[in-house]
Parts: sequence; C-alpha cells; structure tokens
Amino acid sequence: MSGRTAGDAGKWWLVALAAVVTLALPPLLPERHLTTYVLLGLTAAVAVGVSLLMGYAGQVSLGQAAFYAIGAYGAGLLAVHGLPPVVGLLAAPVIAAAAAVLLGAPLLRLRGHHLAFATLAVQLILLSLLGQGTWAGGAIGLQGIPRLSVPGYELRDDLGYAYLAWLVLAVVLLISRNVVKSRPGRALRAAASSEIAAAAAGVPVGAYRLAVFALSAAFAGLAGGVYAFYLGYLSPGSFPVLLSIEFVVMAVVGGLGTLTGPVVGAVVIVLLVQVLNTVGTQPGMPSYAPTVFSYAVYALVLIAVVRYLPRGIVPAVSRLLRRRGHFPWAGPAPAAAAVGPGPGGPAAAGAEFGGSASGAGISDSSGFGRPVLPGVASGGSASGASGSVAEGSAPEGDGSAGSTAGVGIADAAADGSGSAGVASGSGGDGSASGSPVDGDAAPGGGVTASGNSASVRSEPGREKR
Amino acid sequence: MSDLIAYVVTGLGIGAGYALVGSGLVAIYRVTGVVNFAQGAFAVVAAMLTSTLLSAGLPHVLAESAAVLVAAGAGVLVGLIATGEPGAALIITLGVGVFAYAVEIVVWGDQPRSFAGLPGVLTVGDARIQAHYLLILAVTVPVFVAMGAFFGRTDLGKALTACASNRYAARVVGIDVRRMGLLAFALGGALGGLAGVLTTPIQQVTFDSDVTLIVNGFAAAILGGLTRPGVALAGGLLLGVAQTLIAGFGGGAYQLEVALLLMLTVMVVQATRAGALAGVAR
Repeated sequence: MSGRTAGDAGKWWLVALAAVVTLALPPLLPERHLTTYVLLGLTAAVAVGVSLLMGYAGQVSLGQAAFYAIGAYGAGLLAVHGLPPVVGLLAAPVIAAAAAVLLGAPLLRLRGHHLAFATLAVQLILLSLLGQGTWAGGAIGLQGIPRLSVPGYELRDDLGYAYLAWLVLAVVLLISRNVVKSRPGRALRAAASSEIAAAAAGVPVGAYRLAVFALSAAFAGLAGGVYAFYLGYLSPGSFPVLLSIEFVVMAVVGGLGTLTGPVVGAVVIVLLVQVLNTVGTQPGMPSYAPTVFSYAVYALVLIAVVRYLPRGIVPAVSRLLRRRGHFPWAGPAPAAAAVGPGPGGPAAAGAEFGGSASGAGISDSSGFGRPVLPGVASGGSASGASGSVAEGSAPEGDGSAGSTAGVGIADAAADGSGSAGVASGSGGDGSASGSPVDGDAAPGGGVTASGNSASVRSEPGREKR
Repeated sequence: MSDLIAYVVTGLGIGAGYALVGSGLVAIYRVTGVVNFAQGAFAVVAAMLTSTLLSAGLPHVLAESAAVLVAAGAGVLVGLIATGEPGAALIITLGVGVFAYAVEIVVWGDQPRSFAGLPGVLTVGDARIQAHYLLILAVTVPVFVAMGAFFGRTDLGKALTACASNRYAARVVGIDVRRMGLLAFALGGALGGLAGVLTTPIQQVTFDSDVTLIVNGFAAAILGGLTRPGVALAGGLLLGVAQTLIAGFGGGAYQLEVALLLMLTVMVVQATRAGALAGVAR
C-alpha cells in the first residue's frame, strides 16, 4: 500500500506493542516456561508457512513436519560433521526448500485431499528412512549436536534461544508480508480463486505454487534448524504426523491467509495445552491426562473454529472490532471502496472454479487475506471444474450438501460495507465478494474477476446486509 | 515356493484389511464427497472394543459383531459432524481423528492391544499358513460381493449410487441426500470396523495405528479414483501382497516406502492424465 494511512499507523502501533511484549517476556518467564516459549516461536514460524501455503496457494500440506525435520536433520548433520553451526543453521532452510522443489515438482500436480495424502505419505516415508538410516542416528536419534555458536560466542542458555526463535518468527513474518504484497503474491491470490483465469492472464501458476511450497518449506526448515541446536538431539519421534496436523490446526484456527493468524493460533493452542497440562499433572489425575488433554484441545478447537468461525480467529475478531467501530483505522478503506457497489461483485464467483473454496477477499488489514480451507472443498483435482458446473446450474436454496465450493467463507468487505455475507443463514452459496485490490490494481486478481464474471451466481437478494 | 505361498497368503490377509478401510473411504466419498480422515479410527475403536468385550467373556462372533455395529454408529456420528460443513470436511474429519485419540487413550490406554483370532495352522503344499489369514479373506470377499449387490441391485443402494452420481438430480427425484450421506458414513464406519476386527489378531493395534491404516486404505482406494469399491479391493490386495513380498524377499524394512511411493506414483499419473484431459491441473 502506498502511503501511510491512519490504518497503517494503528497497525504499526500494534506491531510495536507485540514486539515489546515478545522482547520483554523471556527474562520474566521461569525456566520451564521458557522452553515452551522457544518452541512456540518455532511452531508459529512453521504455521505461518502453512498458512501461506493453504491460504495462498490453496493447498493443504499434512506433511509440513517433514520439512521441519529436514531442516533440523540438515542443520544437525552438518554441525555434527564439523561444520560451523551457523552454516548449518543457514543451510537448513535451503536444504528444506530444495527438498520441497524436488518433491513439489511432481506432487503439486495434485490437489485437495490428494495432495494432503501425498504430503502425509512423504512424511511417513521420511520418518521411516530416518528411523532406519544409521547416517541419521537411526531410531535412537542424532545426538551430540553442538550449541549454536559464532566465533567467540556460544549461544548457550534458553534465553538466547528464546530471542533467536522469535527472531526467526519475525524474519518469517517479514518475508511473508513482502511476498504477499508483491506482484507474485497477488497473482497467486488470483490463481487460488481461479486457476484458469489466472493462467489465462499469464500467471505462471505452477511455478508460483511451487515457489510458495518451497518458501513454506524453507520457513519450516529454518525453524527446524533452530530446534536442532536448541535441543541438541533429534529423533524421528520428534516429528510425528501429529506435529504436521498441529501446524495445520494452528494455521486454520488463527485464520488462513492472514499473517497474524498462525501466530495467534499457535499462541492460543499452546497456551491452552499448557494450562491443561498443568491441570493434567496435578496429583490425582491419571498419567495419561496431559496427552489426552492436548489431543482433545487440538481436535475440539479445530472443529469448533472450522464450524463456527470458518475464517479463523483473527479475521473474526478484527471484523467484530471494526463493526463496533472501535478501531476505525482497521477498516481497509481502499478495498472497501473498490468493492462497495457490487452486490456479490464481479469477483464473487471466484469460488466457482477449480474446487478451491474461495473468494478473492483480502479484507483483513493484517495480511494476505485469503479464504478458508481452500482446496479441501472440492471433489478433487480434476473433478473440480465439472463439479462446479453442476453446482452452478443447481438453483438450490439451501445449498446444504450440494454446494461443495465456496460455502460461506467469502466475507470480504471488512467493514460491513455490505458486499458479502458469511454464508447467509441458510448456508447457501457464500458469495465471495472481495476484491484483489490492495490499493493498486492487481493484474492477476483483476482478471480473476472478469474471467469469472460470467458465472456470478449470487442474487443480490441473498446478500446478508 | 512354500515361502512364496506363505507370503502371498499373508499379504492377501493384510491387503484385505487395507481394502476394507479403502472401501469404507470409497463408500463415504462416493456419496458425500468427503474424504474421511477418521476412517482409520473406526478400525482402531472396533479392534479395541473387541478386545475389551472378549476379555469380558463375550463369545467370539458376538464380540466382533458388536464392535462393528459400534463402529457404524461412530461413522454416523462423524457424518453428523463432518457433513454440515462441506468446504472443510477433510479438516473436520482430521479433527475427529485426533479427538478419537483422546477417547481411545482414556478408554483403552496407550498400550498396544490384540486378541486371539482363529486358531490353527493349515498346510498348503509345504507352506504353513495361519488359519486366520484365510478367515480374513473368507469374510472380506463375500463382503465385497454383498456390497456390489447392494449398490447395484437394491433400491437403497441405487439411491446411494444416485447421490454419488449427481446429488442435485438425486434430490430432485426425492432422495434424501443428507440421510444417504449418513448411511454412507455408517457403512464406511462398519467397513472400517470390520477391517480393525479382522486384522488385529495378526497385527497389534495402538491408538495411533490409524495413520498407517488410513494411508494404506487411501492408497488402495486411489487406484479406482476413490469411487470404485471393486478396484479398492484389488488395490488393497495388491498392496498387501507387494508389501509382504518386499519384506520377505530382501526389501526388509522398506515395505512402507515402496507402498507409499506406489501410491504417489499412481496419484501423480492420474493427475497428469486428468490434467491433460481437463486442462485444469496446469
């Protein structure tokens, strides 16, 4: 966005506040909570990558822990074999990204649940290989990883790692923000709405999607590198499938397609798990209580958010605040203006194509405003298009089971200027309004709108407000 | 030679389990368009429940049948939760799967469980085969035949198939699509439960063995594009035999890798073909 608006000023205040809190917190925390703090920073960094991938490239990865592991083992192995730890740390994201490119080239042809299972399979394969490979320490694990050090200084205590972990998170957030605001970022947003339209406009969809995949893997790899040096010990058991699911939960709960969402999601979930962990380890509780609580938290929070706050916590909260008018600066004026008049808007039918449940909304000021759970919606890769055709022709009112695409996650216009409803009461086809506008016209996004305008299907009457 | 026969029969037994899980996926996906990530949990719940019932003194067939029924009920529950939100069904079933972990640990603990299957060893040629593997096949094959008859010949089955084929048209002719979806989930739950009940005597089950089951079941089902139970049977058996052969003849511990690579290859090839036809995927 060009120029600092009032909204930007408010946002910067929030960022500054968050920075102060994160910097001030570590010395105040007791030792055992400091570990949680470090891991929270690292987990959040990975979750940002997942959010970028799911919210932006519209793809679900159930194997993100694989890249976390690749980064960790890469850094650990390099350091164990005598390279300076810093080199290992810097190499970790590169190795993870390289692995993602190699894997993604064939796998990203898949969509939706196919990709989800493929990434899960990749992780299972990796875990199995790590468990058997003596070069990686086998099932016992890789031991004796040195502490992170630069010549003359060794990062030894938890406090240092706490700052390092949150530095990593800050770097990850900064990169994500810039990617999102870049031209490829807008093009990707367009592609997630309608791959065909974006491709027709000259967006190299496949290459960009691969790039995001690699970027999210690099984030995971970097976090994994820090993890390796922090713990000094790695085993396949440190990277279970559940960890991948955890990342997805955090990203979804916080709000896909927002920058702050995954961080908020990670904080919420880790705090909840911590609290319940404390409860669960009270005398009198059965020994399995902490485990059970953490599983239950992941599951229940995930299901509750997906069902009742389909866009996630951050978008829901910021919308609530805007509606109340507490934070007038939070309203993205340009976007709202651009969307304004159109009931449903030309961009509405974004969700029609390709099975990625989506609208092109980029409402929230915080980030890369993308819809919820893209890709999962559809009947699958190839069937997406035909499926949506069938749907388009179905004039059903309640759209309950029938509409696979784009149900009720649209809401874009941020401040209630009235374009899109969250799936209106009847659960019908959520008309995604929202525009790929970010102040300046997005080329790819613009095409999304026009490319789809033929298939706008939401009658004005169905709008919520 | 005797090794080969033993491996093949073992593989068929294991593969039948994958096929049942996979066909459960298919049953649900066909009708509702939901890929049920909690499918493996049905197997785990049924297996654990059977072990409890057996140790409580219930006779064999009765305990297994009760467990399968409970799994079908669990299927309906999952269906109720998952079908309300079509855009996010996979994520919701993921959540349900994780929640199942919590329930399973509370009820049955986190230790592996097993129970005795059909006792006895048969000798074919000079190969010795546990009778239970044959029992698995003897149950699985009729189940698939019955499923084929059910989908093809009964009104209810045809209604389910109609929903799978065109949901809107099915509704127009008066089929209750939502009820059919729940029915499909019940069927999927029962099939998953059957898989767990049948394979647990030969493979211990822990609360998190659902991941292996679901991935292998998905691999079996994906051969038929997630829509054809018959192909899922063939795929599952193939997968099981391939795994035991690899494990038996030198592949050692790499059977999982091979099976998963097989699945990835199939999916990529399918996607590439579909992409070439539809022009959607790239």
